This record gives sequence, structure tokens and C-alpha cells, in this order.
Amino acid sequence: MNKKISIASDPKKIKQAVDEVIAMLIGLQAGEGDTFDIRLCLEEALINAITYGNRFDKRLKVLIDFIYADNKISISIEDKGNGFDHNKIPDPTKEENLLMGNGRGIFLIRHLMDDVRFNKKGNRLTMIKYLKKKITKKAQ
Amino acid sequence: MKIAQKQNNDITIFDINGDIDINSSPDMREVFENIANAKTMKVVVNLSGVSYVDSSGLATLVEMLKKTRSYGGKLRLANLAPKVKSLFEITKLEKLFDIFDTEEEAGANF
Repeated sequence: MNKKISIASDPKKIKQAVDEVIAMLIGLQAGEGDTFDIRLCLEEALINAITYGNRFDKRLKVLIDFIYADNKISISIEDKGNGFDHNKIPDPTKEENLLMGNGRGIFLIRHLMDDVRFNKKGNRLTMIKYLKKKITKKAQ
Repeated sequence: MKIAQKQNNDITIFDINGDIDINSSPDMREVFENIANAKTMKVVVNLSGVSYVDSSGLATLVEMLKKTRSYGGKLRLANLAPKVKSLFEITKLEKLFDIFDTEEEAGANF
């Protein structure tokens, strides 16, 4: 199963894309916990792509590539920005960073997904989740 | 998201219903701005109607906590759904917030 979604860099477009992915997860009989984690991580990744990657330029698209096979969900989010060094993001759980206003999105993605990868440029994030509930129904 | 506000003696209680995310966080920030401006000393945020919080929602709650603390007030959270509570554990925000199982517990011994 493979689905590609393209949205304009407008935060109001996030819900539509996320709803589309949630509908696919429901179709795949994903559990509530996995659905929560994937929804959260997808929204965080899209917010980052729109905000820091495409800098709210509505002419620029954010591309979502959803792949499901053998109980494994892979979602890639790519923006048109110059990328960033994900290793330079401060750890939000450090005592001195707890009161930070932001900076928890990538941390949550790393924690809630089973595998997270960035391309070399840093403008494409791929996150992988192995669904806990064994799929019994064939994907449409 | 819907926010209801009630008073229990000197404690101001917010009942939040719905998702706290990038779309609804500004509404919550605005409502809370009034509380901070009035320097309300005892605030309980009841999250029993919240099943989803994203990082902007967490950031908004941190902002609310910082503002309350800035004038010597206290803010407590109550009734977190298991998944929402797990986000506070993962991000270690549980160390920052006073989190209670029920609104009654949050309102006691303020």
C-alpha cells in the first residue's frame, strides 16, 4: 500500500492530510495507541516542514509518502527548504531546557516512532512504526 | 476545543474539552492571558476532556505555568488521559508540573 499526499505550506492544510492518514490506519486496523503516536508524529513533522522548511510559503509543497507493508508503516515528509542538522536540537528533557517554549516535536517523534531517519540535506524525514496489533484484514 | 471556567472558593478551574494542538493552542493562551493579568493565585486545569495534546499544546501549558509562577501563583493539572500523561513523562514535564489524578485532589491543600 502506498499513498502520496501533497499539501501547501499552510498549517490549515495539516488536518486534511492527517485525517487522510488516520483513515488509512483505521482501514489497517491499527490500535488506538499506534494511531495516537502516528498522528502526533505526523503533525509534528508537518508543522516543522511548513514552519522551518518552507517558512509558510504557500507556493511550496510538503510531500508525504505513506507506505504500508508487513505491519510496518513508513511515512516520509519532505519540504523544499535547505534542511537542518537534527543533531543540533537541544535535549528538551534536560533540566535547563524544561521551560523551553518549543523544541519537543522532533524529540517526541524520536521517542514514539520505532525508527527515524533524515536525508543528508535534512529536508526529508522518514519515520517508521511497527504496528502492535497484528493486521488481519488485507489493506485496500 | 471548548474551555469552561468555574470557581471553587479561591480556586479557578478550567475544564478543557477537545484537542490541544497548533490550531487550538492560541485560544487557550488567550483565555489564560486574562487569568494571568488578574494574577489569579490558584489555578487547576482539568484535562479530563482532552485526549490529544501536541508539542504546541505542551508549550502552551508550559507558558501558562511560567506566567502563573512569575507572580507567585500556582497551576496544577488534573485528570490526564493515559496517553496525554505519557507525553508529560516522555518529555519530563511531569517534573515541572504538579499533576493530580482528580480535580478534587488538585484542589486540596493548595
